[in-house]
Amino acid sequence: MVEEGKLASDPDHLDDLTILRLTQEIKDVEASKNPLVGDFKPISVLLSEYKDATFRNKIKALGGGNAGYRPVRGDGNCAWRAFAFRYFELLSKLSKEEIEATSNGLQARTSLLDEAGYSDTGYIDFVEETFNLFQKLPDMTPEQVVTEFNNAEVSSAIIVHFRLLAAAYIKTHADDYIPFIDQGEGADIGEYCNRNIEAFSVEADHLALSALVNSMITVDLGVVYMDRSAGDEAVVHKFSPVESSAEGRPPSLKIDLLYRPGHYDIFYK
Amino acid sequence: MYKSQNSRNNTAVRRLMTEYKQLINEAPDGISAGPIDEDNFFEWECLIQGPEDTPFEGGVFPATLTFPKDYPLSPPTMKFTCEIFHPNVYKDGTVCISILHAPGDDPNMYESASERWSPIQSVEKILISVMSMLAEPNDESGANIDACKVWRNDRAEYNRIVKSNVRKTLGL
Repeated sequence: MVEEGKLASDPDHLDDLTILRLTQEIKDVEASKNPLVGDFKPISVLLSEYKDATFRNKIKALGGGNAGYRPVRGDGNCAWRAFAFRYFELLSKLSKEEIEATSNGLQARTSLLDEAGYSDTGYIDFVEETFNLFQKLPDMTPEQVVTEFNNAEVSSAIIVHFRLLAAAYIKTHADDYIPFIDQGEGADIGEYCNRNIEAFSVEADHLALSALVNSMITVDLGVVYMDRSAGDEAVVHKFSPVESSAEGRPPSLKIDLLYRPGHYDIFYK
Repeated sequence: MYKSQNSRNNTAVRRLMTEYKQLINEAPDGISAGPIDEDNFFEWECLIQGPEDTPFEGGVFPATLTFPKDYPLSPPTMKFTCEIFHPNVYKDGTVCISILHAPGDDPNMYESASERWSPIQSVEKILISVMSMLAEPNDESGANIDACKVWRNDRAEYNRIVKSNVRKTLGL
């Protein structure tokens, strides 16, 4: 480790902070080449990206017709942004009453954040952004939802809200999650949530997605795993909430994500 | 109608104003912080009292906090503007503790037990962490190697240097 900050300009003696900063700048420049939420693309576009037979067979098995995907920027928030965007895109096609019922249901879940011990100063700005969008949603087209999500300030705030809901669900249901978190060194739920969920730009893992679905109640999530594992069809991991909304009100939304190692996009059947 | 607005840092300014108000009303003991100029909420000055029963006791240490435009998604940086001899403070005054780094963006990755930055942290939590860092250096994550060595090998000398800096910050 080099101790003198002033050596930072000498490429042979970069200090740790400078290396981190430069690495982050490179990642940011690469990430910013793509929109936060891109345009819908048919499956044939995905197929054209692969020569490998395993991938091609799995992609072909995803179905033709209207199937496709929508790329999301790979900035560490892709699963969260993909989920949040698709949530609002699906909602934008529902009636005003259904949107309102969903909004009220989600509003009630804000109590999870208090139960988890978050201060409202910490979460209020993010939660408000979500419900601002809910208010505008009945008059919005799905295209306008795309525009809205490409405003970093809006979609990042909604992502933080959803991250906090998922983390709060884990913290308030610790007994259900500890067995998956304990790595033999003693499980610390707070530390796990701090490192893996609450922090912005950290990729969602399996637990995070499970907790997100449980915290939202009205979403069934499917993740299509497009990897090199054996088989002619991609494995689909399904996440359904433990609790379900009474009598289908608000309606359940079906969100599908396309996972390729290290990255999530939105999948359309 | 819903055309994307350019990012105007509304979230950051709103949050910083809220935190500033809370710190005015109920700052923890030994800590004060606020914008240097109320026209620019992204540059703060703070004062930290040296914790009792440590060689920093009696000192008041000024530092600046510089907030990124996407605060609180990313953490601020903190830099002491006085002389500080401490294992976790670079010689230029930059503070190196885990709460000032997001996970995966942390030069002290092996330092496992402490909290990382996330959008629900706050200026108050940073300053409290820095106060306890003054009291208990973490010698696994050295920012100032000389201070690390002296702290580990010659505690009397470490105390002497720290106390002499304390006198300097008081203008003695």
